[in-house]
Amino acid sequence: MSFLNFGPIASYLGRGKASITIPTMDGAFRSNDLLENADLYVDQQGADCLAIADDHLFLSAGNQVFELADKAKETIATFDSEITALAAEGSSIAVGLASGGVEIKGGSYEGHYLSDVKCPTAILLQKNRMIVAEGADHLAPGDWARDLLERGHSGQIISVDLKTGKSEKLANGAAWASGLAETSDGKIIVSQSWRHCLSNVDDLNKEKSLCHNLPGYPSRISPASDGGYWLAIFGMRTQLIEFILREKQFRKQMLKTVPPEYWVAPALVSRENFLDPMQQGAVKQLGIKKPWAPPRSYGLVVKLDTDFQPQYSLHSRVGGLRHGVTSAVEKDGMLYVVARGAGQVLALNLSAIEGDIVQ
Amino acid sequence: MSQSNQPVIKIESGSKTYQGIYAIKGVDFDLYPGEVHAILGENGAGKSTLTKALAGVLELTEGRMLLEDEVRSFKSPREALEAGIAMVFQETSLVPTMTVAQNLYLGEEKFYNRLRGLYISAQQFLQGLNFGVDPTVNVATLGAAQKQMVEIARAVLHKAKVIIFDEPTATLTPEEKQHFFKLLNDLKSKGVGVVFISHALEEALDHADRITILRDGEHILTEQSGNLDRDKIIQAMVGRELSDKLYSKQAGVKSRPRGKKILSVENLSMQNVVKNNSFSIYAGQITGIFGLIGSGRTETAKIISGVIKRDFFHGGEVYLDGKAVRYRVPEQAMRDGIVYVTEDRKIEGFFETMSIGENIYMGELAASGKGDAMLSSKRRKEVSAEWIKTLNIKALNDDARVVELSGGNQQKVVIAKSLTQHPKVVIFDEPTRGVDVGAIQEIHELLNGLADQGLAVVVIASYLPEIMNLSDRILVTRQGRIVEEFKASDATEDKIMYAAIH
Repeated sequence: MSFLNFGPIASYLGRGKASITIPTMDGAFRSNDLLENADLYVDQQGADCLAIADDHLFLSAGNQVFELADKAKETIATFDSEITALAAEGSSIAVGLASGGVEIKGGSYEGHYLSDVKCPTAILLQKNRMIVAEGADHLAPGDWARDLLERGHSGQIISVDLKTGKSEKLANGAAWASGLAETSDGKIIVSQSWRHCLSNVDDLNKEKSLCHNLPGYPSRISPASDGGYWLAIFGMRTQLIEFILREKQFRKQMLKTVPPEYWVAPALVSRENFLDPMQQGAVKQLGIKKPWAPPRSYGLVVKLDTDFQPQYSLHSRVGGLRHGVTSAVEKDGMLYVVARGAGQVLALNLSAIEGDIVQ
Repeated sequence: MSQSNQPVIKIESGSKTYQGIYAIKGVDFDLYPGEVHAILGENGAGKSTLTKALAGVLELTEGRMLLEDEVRSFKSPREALEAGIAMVFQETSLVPTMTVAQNLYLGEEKFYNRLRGLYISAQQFLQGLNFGVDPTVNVATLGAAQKQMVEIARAVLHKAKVIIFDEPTATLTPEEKQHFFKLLNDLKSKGVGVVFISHALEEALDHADRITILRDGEHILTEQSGNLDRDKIIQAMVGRELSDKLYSKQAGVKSRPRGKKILSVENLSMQNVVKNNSFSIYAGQITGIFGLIGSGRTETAKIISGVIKRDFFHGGEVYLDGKAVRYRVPEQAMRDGIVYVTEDRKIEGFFETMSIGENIYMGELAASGKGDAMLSSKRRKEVSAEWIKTLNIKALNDDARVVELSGGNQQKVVIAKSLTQHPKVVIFDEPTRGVDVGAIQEIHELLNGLADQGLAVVVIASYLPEIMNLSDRILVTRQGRIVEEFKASDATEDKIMYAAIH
């Protein structure tokens, strides 16, 4: 690598880390309208996270946990604070709370409470162990946009032995850890949103990752029936955001002076407000220059194979509404997806879509 | 059809050979004044050779040409133009930096020229033809259809009796096509004989008076278009088993699944040719890239492989196996496993006066980068013998000079030279251009074999059936960037062409 690719020279030339490039949406990320055209399963404002245990499907929304069945929902638990992560195992559910901490309801560990987690974003609940992903050590889960703009990397992964109550820090320095999965050989995989990658928990801060340079911000991971995984992507990288992330002074001023809803940052839903930031650009068609401005939000779920390589994806494109996907789980040949931006849980028949899009 | 009984131009038993191989063989062709005559055939059927012989671009090696009953042989296109035969090429021959009027009168200038006078006479002339082109604008700013209008105007200005079009509608939008055929009718009514080559059979059926079909350089039939239909034409064009194999997917043959993402191009830019181009290439697959000439396909491939450089400022990134790469020379790319097989093998592909063995061995030496002062003739013989056998290169021995080989065998030498470098990504630019039909099938089999072995194979081609037959996924370029991606099963010629021009 040439010296031209580093430091202020690279910044001037637009090379190396200063090159504002984003991965293309082709191959496994080839767009379609499967998410946009998916059947509505349940309408629920604030829907955030799905979990499966013993053939039951659970949804967290606001401060409630619902059980979903036959397109109906039933409240099974209510908490004092907004729920930011949900996991289920056997007859237990574990919820992360916006006020901090993780609480277990049901099962043999009923009432267990893990207090030393400020920002729980994802939970992996096992029989006698619980692993919690913390987005950042100083922010609430709802402040994810601030963490991105501050280029935060203070997330950590905590393992709790439920029998003894002893907790152990598996890794720290994660750039907004927001998804957890366990491989067949027992390795813990973490999605780091701001590094756009999935990594082994032992390699969080290293260059090597299992799946890198994703076109969006990865979030929760859940197992698929074929041994692969489902990855929810809650926002897309755009050249505007990548540019903003290079401009430290601009970001500092923006965080200080502009209300959060108008920050130049990804969003879970695009509002029809003229004050919203836009990415301007132009394409030339038939000799005529046409401006375009993609909105800030997008809907995307990615199917990964057993090696965490993308196989195909389901989209709700820029013109769609089912944006801000925060969770996707597979159950009985159906894929359930939370489009948080739209406040909806969607259901897709996997046998129908796989024939359609898998090459 | 307003034609007289006397053909304006006629070829009798015309043949043209290249190094002993017939491009056309014993072809008879005639054209009457005021007739629109379409020439159809597959790629390599000899259409371009025939029309180039008519237009004086090349001379026939056998047979004779009669212009208004007089035997003629043109040494150059200029001679043909003076005799009233003009050819409009697919890549226009206009000077982009000059105005329309200057292009019209190029070569006809007087001793003293006034631009104003030139513009006025050009304006009158263009209006007379009902062409809405401003004579004062630079040709570079015109669209494809308008450039073609200028070419036609120039032909008419030279009082052409015969105008030959090579794929005139390939780059035109549907609206522009309509306008083009209206112009063709105007020319016809003026008594001009028109010859056009097209791959679009409907165009020939709708607009031509007669249709001539060539196959493998031989004349198959010449018939009034009213007596033909699409099925009959296709049967005449491809009426052999080999063609079916060459350009149609075997039933039940599935596309290869995507392997690991091996190459990722992000926002690549080079001047006005490659504009913010982004795409990915996967291992174990053939990725076909289709685009019109000038859409930046070749330039993108050359940037990736270090032949040319991207923009110095904000030129974008190329990632090989997730690592950003930027090559100054092809040698660096080669060592990383990226190989580019050129579209212009005569200039960039081989040393024509050197032997097959030397050319192939050179590929291995370049990849090893040892720069040994002592070359091993034993190793050279081993390498060349291996590749001559693998690729079925037909030559007396490995000492034969490459210049003496047929196009297909020359291409195999270029491919062998590249494959000695054990690449991860191989980019083939027009792999079967100027290659005889038998070798096309062998090259296709080789490309499929490489993909089956797990290599990432990229094929850039202008011939749609070839792209559709070979590719597991198809990318379409337009105006310097990838604009569309198709699964092999979804792609149709219409969809691909629509993406390439709209």
